[in-house]
Amino acid sequence: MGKKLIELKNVTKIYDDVPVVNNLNLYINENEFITLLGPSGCGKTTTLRMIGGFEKPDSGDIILNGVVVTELPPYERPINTVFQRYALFPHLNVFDNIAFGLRSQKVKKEEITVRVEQALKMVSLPGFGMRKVQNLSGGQQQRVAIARAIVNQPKILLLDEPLAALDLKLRQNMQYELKEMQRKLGITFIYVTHDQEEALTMSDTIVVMKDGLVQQIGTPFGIYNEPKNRFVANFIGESNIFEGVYLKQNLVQFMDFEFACVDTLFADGEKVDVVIRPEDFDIISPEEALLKGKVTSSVFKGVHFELCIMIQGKEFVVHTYENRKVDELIGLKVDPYEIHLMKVVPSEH
Amino acid sequence: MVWLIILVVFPLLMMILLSFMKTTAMSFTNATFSFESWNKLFTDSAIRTALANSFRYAFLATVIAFFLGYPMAYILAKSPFSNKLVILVLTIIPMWSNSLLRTSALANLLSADSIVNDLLNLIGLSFVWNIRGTGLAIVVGLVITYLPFMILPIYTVLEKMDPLLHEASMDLGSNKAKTFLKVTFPLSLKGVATGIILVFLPSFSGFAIPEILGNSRIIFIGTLVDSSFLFSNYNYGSLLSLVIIILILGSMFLFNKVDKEGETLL
Repeated sequence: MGKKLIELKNVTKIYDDVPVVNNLNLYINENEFITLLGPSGCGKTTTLRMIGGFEKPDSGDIILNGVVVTELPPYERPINTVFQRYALFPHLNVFDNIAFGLRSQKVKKEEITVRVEQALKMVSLPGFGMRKVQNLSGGQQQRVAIARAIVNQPKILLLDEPLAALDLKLRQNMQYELKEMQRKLGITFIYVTHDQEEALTMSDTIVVMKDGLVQQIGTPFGIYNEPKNRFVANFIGESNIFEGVYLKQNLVQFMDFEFACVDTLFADGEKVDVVIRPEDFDIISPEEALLKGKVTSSVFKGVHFELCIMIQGKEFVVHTYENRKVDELIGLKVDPYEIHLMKVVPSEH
Repeated sequence: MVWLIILVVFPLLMMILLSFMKTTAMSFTNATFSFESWNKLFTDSAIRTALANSFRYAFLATVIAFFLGYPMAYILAKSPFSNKLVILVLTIIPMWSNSLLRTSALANLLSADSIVNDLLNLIGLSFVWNIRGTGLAIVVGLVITYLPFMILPIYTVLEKMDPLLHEASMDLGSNKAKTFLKVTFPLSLKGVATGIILVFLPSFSGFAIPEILGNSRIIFIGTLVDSSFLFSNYNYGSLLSLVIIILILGSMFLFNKVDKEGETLL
């Protein structure tokens, strides 16, 4: 991959005796779009703020390009931030907001004008320089905040849930625009969000966090298809999780049936968690199926139907394009490579 | 609406009427129309001295209150929450006491027979700052009395300021000092303007503090009003009062332009 741009070594942050970030070890490469993903309170925003210099770790080090920056204030780090609530300066117009960082660096006036206009073009707001920030819509303010950060050509851009306040369509547009921007600029984007769909859409790498600890690091595709534990499986996409036993090579038992599977990294007789995504079930006639039961609910989700089926007292969630009636008896089939096994973590049960 | 007319409009009309007449106090017997008061307004040199004094002292008090009050407001806004309330209350409490008593007490402290000196004498120390009757005493009195009015609006604005703005400024390369100059101070100007108006106005038009602390030696515009009414020249007194009212209304108009929503009034 690329070279290591940022390293977090044993970083810990404690609030009120609770480790909000718990001995975190992480490295981030150049030219990477990496997302810290997790529920509220998992430590993702605190981690981001420590990278930016707005919080100091209680222990551990943050290293940028080989230089230890743990003690440095934000204005001495080659990093810029896009804040969740934009934080645009209300007493300055759009141009002066964007030029703020350039003026700190004592850039020449002519160069400032050129670079500000370039930044405005990059966020699709050409000619907006003279506008007052109070008169802009939420989406426009967000883009000015992005322009204000990238105009300084930082090596690293931090984004703290920047799209949280925007409506769905706008958010989806901005996600593509941000991804494009990162590709064009070639700088590292460190993105924080609790929205797993957003993370899956934009990231090269996702870091799933919970309670201050890293749960899993991987590509969107990898994490979705091979979650390491129950928490990740539940957090990313929908899933059905069952307790099972790995009988022997390529054979797993759950729901009192034996299924062929492709995972092999388990011991014979080891307890496992079995994950099957709702869209991976095929609906077949009950006579041909091992798993069969009655439909208990059917909800149209705009793209597919979400069915709940009771089989031997356990609820299965299935996504299908063809609707099934409530109380209808149906059968389910799943291919071996769509049965995913995870190690059982004692604390999760 | 009726109360407004009785208590405000009617007296105002009376004052305007009186200013164009010559009467014996408030009695309208033998009253004649006269421009004597207006004449006096434009020719009496006492007026010009009084206006100049009022302006000079109010200006000085305001400037000193600003340089003392802004840092105090800043430190207050930055302090942890538990301390904030205590200090705020301490700042406001003096305003609850009777202003004449307060000013007289201050006058005592600034004279030769100050009570503090008497107490210190008991343990063999001495401290006398005998400036009562001088301009300095008046300035001290004005600043001490009206300092809370400078601190509170500035504090309110600083407290309400989004802390993310400071972080954004530092993120973009400005250190703490530059952040203050480029972001914090410009955004606090509304509070500063309110504070200036709230200190300048009463300093300009009041007369109790100059009289008590200055031993009536220095003439202020308020002093002139007071003595006019004392000597039963209600005509001249009314006219002077109208002048002050117009000045105050003008400043209130200015204040409204600066802070439309009353944000800085706590």
